[in-house]
Order: sequence, then C-alpha cells, then structure tokens
Amino acid sequence: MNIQSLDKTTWDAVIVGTGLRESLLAAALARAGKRVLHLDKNPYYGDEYAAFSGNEFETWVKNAQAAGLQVVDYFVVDQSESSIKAKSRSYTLNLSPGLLYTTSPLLSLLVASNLNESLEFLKVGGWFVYNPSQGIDGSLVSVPNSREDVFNDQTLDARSKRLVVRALKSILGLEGSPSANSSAHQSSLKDYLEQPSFRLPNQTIAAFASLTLRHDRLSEIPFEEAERDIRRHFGSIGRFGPGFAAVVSRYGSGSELVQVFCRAAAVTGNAIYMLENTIISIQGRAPRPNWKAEEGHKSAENTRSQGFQLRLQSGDLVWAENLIATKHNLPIDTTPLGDLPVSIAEDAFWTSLYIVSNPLRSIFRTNEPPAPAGVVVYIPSGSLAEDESRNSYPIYICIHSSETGECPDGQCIMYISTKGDERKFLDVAAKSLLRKMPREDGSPSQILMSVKFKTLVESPLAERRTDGLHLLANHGPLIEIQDEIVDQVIDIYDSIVGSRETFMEKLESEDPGDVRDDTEISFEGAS
Amino acid sequence: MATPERPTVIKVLLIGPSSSGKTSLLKRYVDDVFEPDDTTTTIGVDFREKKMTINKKLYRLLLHDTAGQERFRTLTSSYYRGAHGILLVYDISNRDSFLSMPNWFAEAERFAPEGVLKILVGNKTDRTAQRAVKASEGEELANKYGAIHFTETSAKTRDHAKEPFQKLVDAIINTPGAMDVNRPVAGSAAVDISAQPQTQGGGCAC
Repeated sequence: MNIQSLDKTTWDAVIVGTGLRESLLAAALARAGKRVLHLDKNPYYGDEYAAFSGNEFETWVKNAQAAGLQVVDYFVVDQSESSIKAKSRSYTLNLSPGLLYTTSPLLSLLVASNLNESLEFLKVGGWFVYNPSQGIDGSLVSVPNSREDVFNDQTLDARSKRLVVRALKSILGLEGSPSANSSAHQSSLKDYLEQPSFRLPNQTIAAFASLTLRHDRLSEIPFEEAERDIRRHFGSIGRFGPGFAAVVSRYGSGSELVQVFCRAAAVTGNAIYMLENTIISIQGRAPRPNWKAEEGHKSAENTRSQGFQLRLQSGDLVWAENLIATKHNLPIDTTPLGDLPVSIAEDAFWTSLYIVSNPLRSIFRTNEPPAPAGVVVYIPSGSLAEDESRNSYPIYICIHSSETGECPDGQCIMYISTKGDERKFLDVAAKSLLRKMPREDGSPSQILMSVKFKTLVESPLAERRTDGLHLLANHGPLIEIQDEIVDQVIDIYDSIVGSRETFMEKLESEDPGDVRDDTEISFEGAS
Repeated sequence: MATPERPTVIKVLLIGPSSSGKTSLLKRYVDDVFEPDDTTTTIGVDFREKKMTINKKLYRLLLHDTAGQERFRTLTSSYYRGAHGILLVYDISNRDSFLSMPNWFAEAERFAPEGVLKILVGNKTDRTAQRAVKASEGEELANKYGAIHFTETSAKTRDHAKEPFQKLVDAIINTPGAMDVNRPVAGSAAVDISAQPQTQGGGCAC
C-alpha cells in the first residue's frame, strides 16, 4: 500500500474542516459504514474550536494576522511572554469557552455513543451580574439559582423578593403566575421584564438577561426566545448535582469534543484523516469513476452516480459523492453552488482570551463543593464607560480556573465577548473586573496576555444543500456550544444515510475491547 | 461515591509508523492471537482493556491504539492525555520505519504528560532474512531518547511479545510519581455526565 497517496480514491463523503459539526458528522457517517476523507488545511484539529499550547497560540496569532483573514489584536506583557513560553505546555488556550448546559444534547450523545469516558467535565457554577456604574460595593451580584437563593439574597428587600419570584414563576410558566398574556409572545425581553405589573429592580432585569447568553440588547431579544433560554437554564440546574446548570470539559470542551469525534471516526476504520491538506479546486461533477478502491477497503456501494472530482493541495485527485464544508474551507470560485446563496446574513462579534495573574479564588467560592471551574459574568449594556461613550451591547466574561487545565496554578483565563464593533470595551471590562478583585496579597491583578479577534456568525445556522454539496454556515462559538448543532448534523446525516435513528449508534459489540481478562500477575522484583 | 475497591487505571499508548505491527502486538498481548491476513489499519475499538491484580491491588490497564491516525501523522493531542506509558513500535525489516522513530519520540515529548515512561520496540523479528535494522541501533536510539527499555519482538512467533507490556506496567507501578502524571486535581471534582440525571432537586423549586 502506498501510504502517502490518496490519488484516485473515491469517498462517500469528503469533509473539509475539523470544527465540531464536521467532526461529529465524520464520526456518525463512519460509524454508519460510510467512507469518509476528513481534511483540514491547518496543522491542528478544531478549526474555530481549536486549542493551543502557549507557543502554538502565538503561532496561531501570527498566522492569523499574516493571513489577514481575521482581525486579531494581540497584547502580551514583555516579561510574561517568556514565562508563557517557558510554561507553554501548562496552557491549553481555547478560541472559545465551550460552555455546555447539562441538558445539552451533546452530553447525552456522548454517553449514548460510549464516548464520555475520554472526557472529564467540570462545573460551571456561578452566574454574576457586574455593573460598575452601580457603585463599587453592590456591583458584582450573584444571579439566584432558585427561590431559596432569592430569599437569601441580601441585596433585595422583602417586597422585591416577592416580585422577583413572581416574575420567575411567570417566565417558567408555573402555577399561580399571571398567565403570560398573549401579547408577551410578540414582545421583546425588555418589554416583558419592564412591564409595569412586574416592577422589577434593574438588577433583576439584568439577572434574567444574563441567563440568555445573548449578546443582543434586551430590546432586540424576542421574548419567546429568551423565555426558552431561561427555562433551559433552570431546567439544567441540578441535573448532575446541586447548584450548577452547565459544565466545561477539562482542556476545553470544543477542542476536546472535536478530537474525541475525529478519533471515533478513525477507530471505525472508515475515516482517513489528513491535516495541512485541503481542496484547491473542484473539477466539476462526474459519475463515480472506476478507480481501484484503496487497498484494504472494499469499494463503497454506488448509490448515486454523480459526485465531485476534487483536486487536493497534496496533488491527489479524489472523487466524493458528498462534500461538506463551510465556504471558507472551499475554493468558492470553483464550487458548483447551483442557486445556493454564497452569503447569508452575518453578525459580527468580538471574542477574546485573557491570561490573568490571579486565580480569582473569591469568585469560584461555593456553598456546594467542589468549587466550580468556571463562572459567567454579565455586564449589562451601558454600564461601562470609556472616552465618554458607553457599551451599547452587553458583555459576557467567562472565567475558567486552572482546574480546567487551561493555565498554570495561580492564574485564570477570561473569555470576554461582545457584539458589534465595541472591541475597546473588552479591555475596559477586563480591567474593571480585575480592579475589583486584587490578588490575595493585595497586589493588583495583571493581564499577562490578551488576544481579541473578530468573529462573523452567519444565521440561520442550518446548512444549505444542493446535489451532494452541503454548505455549512460560518459559525463562531461564542459562549456555549449551541444545542442546534446536533440537529443540524443529524439533518445532514439523514440526507446522506437516509435515517435519523441510526445516528451515532453504539458500535456492534463484537467489540473485543469489552473482554475483561482478570489476570493474576505478579512481577518479579515487585515488592 | 467511590466503590470500596476501584481499580487504579493505567493508560498505555502504542505509537509508531503504519504497518509496524502495533495492533498485532496488542492482540498478542490481550488475546494471545495473531492474524496474518489482518490488513493495515486498526478497526473498531477505541481501547482494549485488561484487568490485573498485582500484589493484591486491582488495576485496569487501558491500551490505546492509533486507529490509523498515525498514517498521515494526525494523532490528536487528546490521545496522549493522561498517558502513563508509551510503547514506540517500529518494524526491524523496514529501515524507513526505524528512521521515523525520532519524530515519534518528538511527538510524544510534545503531547504526552511529563514523566511518561517510554519503551522502544523493534517488531517482526520473525523476518530474519529481511532485517534492516540492527538490534544495537535500536538499543542506541532507546538510550538517546530516554526510553527505559528496548526489546525486539515478534507478534507472530510470540518472541518476547508480552515483555514490553509487562516491563512498562511494572515500571509504571514501581516508579515513584509515574502514576500521578497529568492529574492536577482530584477526580472527585469531575462531573459524572453518565450519572442518572437527578430530579429537579437542586433546580428551581419555585
């Protein structure tokens, strides 16, 4: 077997890019017996879900800047540059925080498909509202998780507590609540929460908004969607233990999930992986050629005559019945789009990562040990000021402790994101929050490194499809790994395999991995 | 939560170039079989498991194979996570296979936890006529890259086939610190997502 060449091979699916959707699809198709060639132009897995060591991250930044594909702002304190390099491997720097609600379909999918053992999940424990314009004392307020939390909240008076509980019941659709008037379902979250009969304190309005994980202004969030988000939040609390609604995977959810799915695909023997290789041109559509099947694999059934002739960067010519990628992973000028639109509506966001010289222990405190490894801080729009302007969109700060394996002890990672073009408020948010939380010895917390980058997100997320071409929407993970991803991947799987039920089924248990030898061994020399 | 005797997990990886016989060695060790017609890539299982009692202590040995991802050098960094030991396997009848080993040592160095124990294995000693690498060369390479042991094996004839596994497990158990690599926090902090979801208990009891 010529192990170096893929020339003249045929595939049921060629997938370009190893983002989460692509990797999950590769695993599902390979498990269903489809032959998959999975490529990534980068020398690493993950695409927009990637994670890097300290050194690799610097390389990523420089390449991204040089390629000019993404606006990237990089800042590193001189003396910390060498310490980050020296401890390069103590860092696993992710491009997004990868929060997963405990009710995420990805988690149940991992368990159902026997892949959860490769991953370790940690609690994301606290939600906070930070509003520096409210004065330094009352500015960082914990979002209640339950009615008990509301009653124990020292910052609310008795009357406010009753109002908050009433509003909460109403949103969750619980008994005794003023029946959500039908007009509510056409209104915005702002209109809903500010309705006169609620008389909610501002702080509570922000608390509800923080649970949506949306970067839009309150007046732009349709109430119906916010209601779904808030119900999901409360529905997730307590699922795997008390007091938390979400988890992150150690070393980063997105990048770890991607690698687990890619390995699951490879393990079937049906998927071949190549990094630093991509499609450079699509040479039109053609029937499945009569090329010799790759040695060691029988030729796949010919289910449809038409497919794509693809020229790879490695020089190889391959044929694929299905082609799956985002547009930035395709040579779009030679892609037979039919009447698919190349561009759809796009929103711009700024996302960022900060390495901080302070473990911020106080924010990870909990009444229900173990301590969480992640917390979420919400900064309402209008509460940060810089150069006489105020942030017009809310800002989220996800803070991960060193327990996640993302940074060495004594430090933490902050992922800060906002919508639109308000990049300057990322620094303002970071510095303001750190001023509030000095190090335990009283010295100021320092930002050792920060990277900010612009992320464009197409909507809707659903893929566009024509004749075997599946064009995925550009998608930047912002805070959470979206639930919709799973459904979207199942749709594509269904269109290729013709079944939704078989998606990621457990492998047949001829699996000798289950053989449990109970061998009694004692080694010579073992004491 | 812990059951009275929870076996201690030992994670061992096999790496090395395609067709060096990693899977055959693994099968010989776990199942004591050799399948000559077994084709190139490793199919179907994420890892093999062997439970062992050593000096009255229960161990769960997890043996991870490359799943064909070594073919284009696309093993994932997560493959290396938490590994206690690595077997680096080349084919003594294939010079190129031997010459690629420095790259495999480098990859292990880059991704595996610090302090991981390594053993170098020259496989396929049954191919005496085609031998392309001297045993002394293997020995030298093992020393150069800090492997704790070097051995030549044949998964086909059983020649020394179990030795690298046994030596590695032995070393992992008996080398101080070798069991704690890459475990920065106690496992108790982890959330068990396979646990039966709890009823609304901690949730909103509104």
